[in-house]
Amino acid sequence: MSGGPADRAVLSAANISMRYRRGGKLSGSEQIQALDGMSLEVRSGEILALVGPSGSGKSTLARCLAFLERPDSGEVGFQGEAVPWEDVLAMRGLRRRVQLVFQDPARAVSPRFTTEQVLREPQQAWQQRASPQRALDWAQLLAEVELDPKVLPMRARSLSGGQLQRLVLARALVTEPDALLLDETFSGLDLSLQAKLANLVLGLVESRGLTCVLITHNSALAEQLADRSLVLSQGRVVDERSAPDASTGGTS
Amino acid sequence: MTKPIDSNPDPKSPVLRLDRLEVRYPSRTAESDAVVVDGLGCEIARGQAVGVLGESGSGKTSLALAVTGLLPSEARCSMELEILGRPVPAAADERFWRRLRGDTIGMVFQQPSLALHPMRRVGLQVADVLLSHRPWSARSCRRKVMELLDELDLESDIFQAFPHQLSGGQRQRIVLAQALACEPSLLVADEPTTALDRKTEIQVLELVRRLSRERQMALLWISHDPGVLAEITDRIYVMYAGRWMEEGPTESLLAEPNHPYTKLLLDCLPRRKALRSEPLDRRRLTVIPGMAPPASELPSGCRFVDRCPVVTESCGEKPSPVPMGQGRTWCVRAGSTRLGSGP
Ligand SMILES: Nc1ncnc2c1ncn2[C@@H]1O[C@H](COP(=O)(O)OP(=O)(O)OP(=O)(O)O)[C@@H](O)[C@H]1O
Ligand code: SF4
Ligand SMILES: [Mg+2]
Repeated sequence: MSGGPADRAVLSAANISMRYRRGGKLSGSEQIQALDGMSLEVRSGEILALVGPSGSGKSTLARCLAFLERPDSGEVGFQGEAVPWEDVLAMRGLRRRVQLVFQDPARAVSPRFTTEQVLREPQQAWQQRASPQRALDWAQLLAEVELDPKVLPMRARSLSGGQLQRLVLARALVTEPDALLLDETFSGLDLSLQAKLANLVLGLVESRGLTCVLITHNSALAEQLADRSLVLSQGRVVDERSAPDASTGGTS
Repeated sequence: MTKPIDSNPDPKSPVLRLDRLEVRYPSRTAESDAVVVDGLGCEIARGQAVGVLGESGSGKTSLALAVTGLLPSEARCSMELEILGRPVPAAADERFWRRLRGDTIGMVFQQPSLALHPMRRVGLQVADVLLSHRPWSARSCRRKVMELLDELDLESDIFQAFPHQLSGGQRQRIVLAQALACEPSLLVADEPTTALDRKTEIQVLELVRRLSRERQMALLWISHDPGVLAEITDRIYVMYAGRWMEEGPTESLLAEPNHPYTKLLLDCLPRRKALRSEPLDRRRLTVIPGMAPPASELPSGCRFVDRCPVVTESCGEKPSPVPMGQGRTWCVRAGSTRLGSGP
């Protein structure tokens, strides 16, 4: 994967900063600088890992790159163009092209919804605007995340942790995004489930030609899965690591 | 009322001795109960840290709840349990257990956010534990809390904070302070650090290890993460579908596992070789094919039989423990053949 469109930036951040105010008696009105002039590019088709300890700004960055939060300053770009934060409709369209998946799938879906309802949510929202004639291929989608179609009528609360995480991945795919952002999606899981889900994501990236941003504090996992890792600390990129031969690239 | 276990026992007896633990839950679908813990035993000496390594659903939490008398009422449990050399009667009532938990056994469980009251100052929440288990004045309880906060490397002004004002690591230390307040002989911990980031997690683990050495406190530490158990334990029991697969000293067990399941599980750790340089279609982590059997369909012999790469005919019988080095392995092939880590 090198040369041509593979090197184009799907997502980018140019000098973005973000500050939160933390209230409360202990901390007074302390300001937290979550992002401090951060710049990075996510190249088309790559798996980019963002690693760093808690508080290093990983999740804030993820929300900015998923267009869910606008930084105080700096620009977020999609396919080489700065995103138009003021243009609400355009932003809605952009949001379906980048999907963010969180760590805790149980919090991401309503426990009373059936699998089918969970998957229909984004489908309905999307079809109104995009291509109404297109039906979703359930069987295909479930097969892609290795879920048994028997789960369709089951409520989310009766699914196992692994099934739930697969469901959340499937939901993220409904809008046919260009990029997936996974925020600690593999954290806190059993080793065997972690490995299975990681392989699933690798397969999806490959078969769908997705771009993937993997946010994790597990640098060993990042080493294994990602083409490139950026190390974050205190709201900045402080280091970049990639495979020794990644710059020469050109493997089949 | 049954006489609670006093805190001045024979120093030579283990802090915990458990045998033949069985936990069942009535099944919603099948006739018979689901057996989620099936005949487990272990021993923990003073100051010793024993880990239980198991995947989700293997029965780890049920084990922790059983030895702390906290199983839900629908659970059916039988066991031979001795704490500090004194048997816990099968008919022990809630009062007995509550006393035991206050004086002798401390506990920390999975979700720290649930353990604390959101609207009460955390220092007072630690003091509450002392007030209900010690005949002390509010003032001495408060002094003791300050000591505890200091021991746990927390600033004293944390006393006045509410839970939401603390970081995950700080909250977890408050929960630990509660568990340690009455200076228990045994601390039972069920994945209390899973929600923390790695750095904070290791800080908390190191802290607990230090305290356990200083106080000669025994630890029963439950986790799905071998990395966590490597930090904190002396000995590890590997659990799968309600049974032990293997147990032994932490270092040898993690470096040279004897049981096929342990081998495969450790192969899933993302560390063996740098996959990063592999092309995407060949970049895959090692997985254990298949899934753990549901509690309603447990195989009668070895529980790992459906997924084991080196299965033989005799695996249909329940494996007995085979001594291996300084540990034991519950596998019919243990010690006989060299077991590969995969087909
Ligand atoms: N109150 C209950 N009623 C019925 N079944 C239960 C109950 N509690 C647990 N179980 C079942 O017992 C088995 C073991 O559960 P347990 O909570 O002990 O596993 P665990 O190893 O702690 O898993 P995890 O890592 O997910 O916490 C599971 O199959 C679970 O569904
Ligand atoms: S007893 Fe048989 S099935 Fe079980 S782990 Fe050993 S070889 Fe595999
Ligand atoms: Mg548990």
